[in-house]
Amino acid sequence: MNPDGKCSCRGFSDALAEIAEEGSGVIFPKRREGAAMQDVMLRAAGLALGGKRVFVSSEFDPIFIARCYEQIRTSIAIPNLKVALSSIHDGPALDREGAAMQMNEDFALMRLLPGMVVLSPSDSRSAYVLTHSLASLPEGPAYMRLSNAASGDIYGPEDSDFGIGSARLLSEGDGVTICATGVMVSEALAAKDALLSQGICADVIDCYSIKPFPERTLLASVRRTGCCVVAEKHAAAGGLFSAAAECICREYPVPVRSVSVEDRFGQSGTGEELREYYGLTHREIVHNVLQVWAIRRR
Amino acid sequence: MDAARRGELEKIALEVRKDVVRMLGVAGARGLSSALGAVEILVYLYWEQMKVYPGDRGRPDRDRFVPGKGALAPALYACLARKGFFDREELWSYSRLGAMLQGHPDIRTPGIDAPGGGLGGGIGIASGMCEFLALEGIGARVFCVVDDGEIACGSAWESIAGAARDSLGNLVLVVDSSLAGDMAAGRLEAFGWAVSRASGNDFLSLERAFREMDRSNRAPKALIARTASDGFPFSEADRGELGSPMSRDYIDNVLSTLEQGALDAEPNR
Repeated sequence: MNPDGKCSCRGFSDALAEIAEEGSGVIFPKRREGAAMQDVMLRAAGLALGGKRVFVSSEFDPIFIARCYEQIRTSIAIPNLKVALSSIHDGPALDREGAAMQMNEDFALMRLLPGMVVLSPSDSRSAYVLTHSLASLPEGPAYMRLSNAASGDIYGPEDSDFGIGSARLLSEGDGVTICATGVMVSEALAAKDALLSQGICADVIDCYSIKPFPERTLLASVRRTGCCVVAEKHAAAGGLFSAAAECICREYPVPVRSVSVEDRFGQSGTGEELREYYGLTHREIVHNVLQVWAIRRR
Repeated sequence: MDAARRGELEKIALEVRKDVVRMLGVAGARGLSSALGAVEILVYLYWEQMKVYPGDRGRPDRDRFVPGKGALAPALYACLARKGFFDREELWSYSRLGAMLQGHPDIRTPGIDAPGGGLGGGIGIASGMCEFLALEGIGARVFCVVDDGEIACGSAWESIAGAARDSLGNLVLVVDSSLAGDMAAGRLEAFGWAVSRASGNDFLSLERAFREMDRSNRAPKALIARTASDGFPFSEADRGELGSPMSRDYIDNVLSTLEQGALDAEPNR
């Protein structure tokens, strides 16, 4: 892991610049003054009706998917249009803004829409590759959560084995499955290192595709380990924990714990302070692993 | 428009009206008044203004129609069937399970270019289509019909401001207005739209308004079309029934009244 890595939004914007250059059937609505996001959403639908892939990104407003939920649902998701939405989910500015700008329900809102792809890359490289995959997605809408917070690189500059609907096994163990997404992947890797000293070998899965959910990767892992901890910067309800728990209880029940923001809103602070406040730390993952490991399925 | 053409359009409108009554009657569905109010507007657009190609419906240079007002779906379907986009038999399964003709317009239906149903959302979708046509260098127009209730929605005004800012001159918005005072006209003008007015149930008036539209003007166009409150030659007493499913007797009564009204009007032409 390279500690001087770029944030995932950097990989996204690099990929967008290349896609724009290629000019291959992809459209970006014009930059506009003001915050008329409902109109931008409808414009994207109108543009996509011509058959092109449309990218809509919001750098400052992670809440737009909530404000425009009706437009996304009625005018983009139901007609299954090729519109890729993305928002900067966290970063120093948003951390300072407090609860109103800390959108911890986005996976849930977007997962609920039939046909909507939901992605959450953990670093710049995976965001770059996944953005290119979105540009060539043959149909349907997608949502990608990005981060503006500088984080370590998880992947090398040539790594390109990321697909919509798949996940990456970053470390292989047989003691516990840690399934993480976005900024929590680096915390999961730190937790893995801490667990080694306690004799527990962890599988760490970078689950960058929340929907379609990579069931086979998760199930193959929990069949070996017999227990699972899910880590995400999201409400406990409706996000990666829900997706993983739905899959595990249907196919191969094992004890599962959630490291998430639980059922509460955020507040203003620095990124560091908020991680502690929410309990989104590698220590919290280790704590949950010890609980779940003690009652693992053997 | 000469008298003969006007007579033809009125005959088409009468048949469309009868189909709408039958469709809603068979389906046991509501919404007769809002569907009927827009019949002349739709007939005029599809038969006099829009270039559409039922035999080649994806043709890139076709004019587009955005059904902002979802409630006009039955009238739109009746028009599309009569234009030859699909078999008229489809009308009788309108809004049934598995039917091609959904309660609100769906882009999987032949001839439907844009989804309907999001209140006030039609204007923004139509704007996006205008942008798409400009990017592709296609000179087609995009027509959108909304009613004066939808135009009160917040997102409609984001879109109205955006369309004027971007000089979407190939956008034609028809406001199906049944309210007494039309605040929409003044507001649209203030936002930089080219606004005209017409009586929405009168082909001559619609013709006049469209002839006066200056197609070289880069401002988006709006036509405030005043329609009869229920678009329907019925007594006030009958109107109470219009919001609920119609009885068989009522449907028969409506159909014969429509026929009779057409016969009565005949000698005046």
